[in-house]
Amino acid sequence: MTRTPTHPALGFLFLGAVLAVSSPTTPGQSCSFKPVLQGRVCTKPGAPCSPPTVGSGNVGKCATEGMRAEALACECQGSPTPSYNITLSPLTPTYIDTDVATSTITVIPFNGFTGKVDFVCTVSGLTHPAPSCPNPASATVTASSATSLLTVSASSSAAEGTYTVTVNAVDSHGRPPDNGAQSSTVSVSHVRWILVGGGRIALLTFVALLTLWGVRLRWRAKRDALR
Amino acid sequence: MSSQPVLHRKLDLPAIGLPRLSREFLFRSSLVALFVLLTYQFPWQWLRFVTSAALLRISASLGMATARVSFDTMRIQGQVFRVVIACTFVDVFMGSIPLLWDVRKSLLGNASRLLAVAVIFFGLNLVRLEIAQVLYFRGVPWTLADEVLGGFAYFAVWLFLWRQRTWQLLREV
Repeated sequence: MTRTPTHPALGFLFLGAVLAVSSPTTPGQSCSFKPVLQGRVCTKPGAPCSPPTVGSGNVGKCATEGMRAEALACECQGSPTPSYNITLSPLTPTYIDTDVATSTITVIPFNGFTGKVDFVCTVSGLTHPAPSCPNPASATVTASSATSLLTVSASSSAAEGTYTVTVNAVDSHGRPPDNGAQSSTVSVSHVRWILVGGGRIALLTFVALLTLWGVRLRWRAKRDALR
Repeated sequence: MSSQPVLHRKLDLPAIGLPRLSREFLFRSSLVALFVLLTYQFPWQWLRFVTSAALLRISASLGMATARVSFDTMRIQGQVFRVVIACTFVDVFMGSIPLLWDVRKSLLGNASRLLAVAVIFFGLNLVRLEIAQVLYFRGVPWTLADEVLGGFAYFAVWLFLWRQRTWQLLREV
């Protein structure tokens, strides 16, 4: 026979979950002045928070709130741990044919994080063969943020379609970034593009017409002067 | 005998004092360059979207198969077109501002005039782009259909500015 929780217990569980997940100022959070990020999950007391770090790189651990055994919260443990986030600028151009799309990966350090960060690039999509994405060069964080260039290249054999390019990172201690892997999308199209709008020939045509017009105007002025 | 005076006059041509460009026109021209350069510092995504949306509608109303690919890209009759800043005519409009500005008019007067000009330019641009597309699908090379027509459109704008001019182009010497 299965026991079902009573309504008050369900209420407590709900309250506990709400407090654990969404409370911006969790009691007992002494090692960080920053509020606990939304969406942190605590499964059981003593378990690491998911994601493991709290705020700016502090390691989080699930703990019960005072006497309320059912209320779990993600608390800071120990001193702030150096960590980092990565950001990915949108791949440009968004459409490629047999050329290259690029993006900038930025490593944002927290709590004095320094060191080398290695990147791994993967391309996923519904069609094959997909464009290639070599692993971006490592970035070395010294004091402020560091950057690396991501390139995605398509050959004429690459299948048309939209692809998700995911970049994962790992530091020298094997730690991933706080904010996890980052993605951007790029589309492959082998249809010949036409850029609408005035180009060099439009400008030349304009200049030619303007010259003719100017000559005519000058000729008229001279003719009038002669009269 | 009768052609002699004409010849004589022709020989005297260099003696005729030719006008020079006025300082005001040179100042306004430099502002044109500045305004156009400034225009290209912005992506104008909304205008590229609006222009492509209008072109899609016009092309569809002319019986062409149309589909939007992205905010600035459309597929018409199977051909992909991307609308860049130059084809929104925003550079032409921005470059026209220094030449259209009437110092004798109030700010509001100038603003309302510029607004009317913006609407006219937008319409003119749509017409020339649509004509270019129609010509292209009738076998005219794109360079001729779009670019040469674009050059004529720029010239039409210049003639409009010339007629509207509030500035002194030339200075008598």
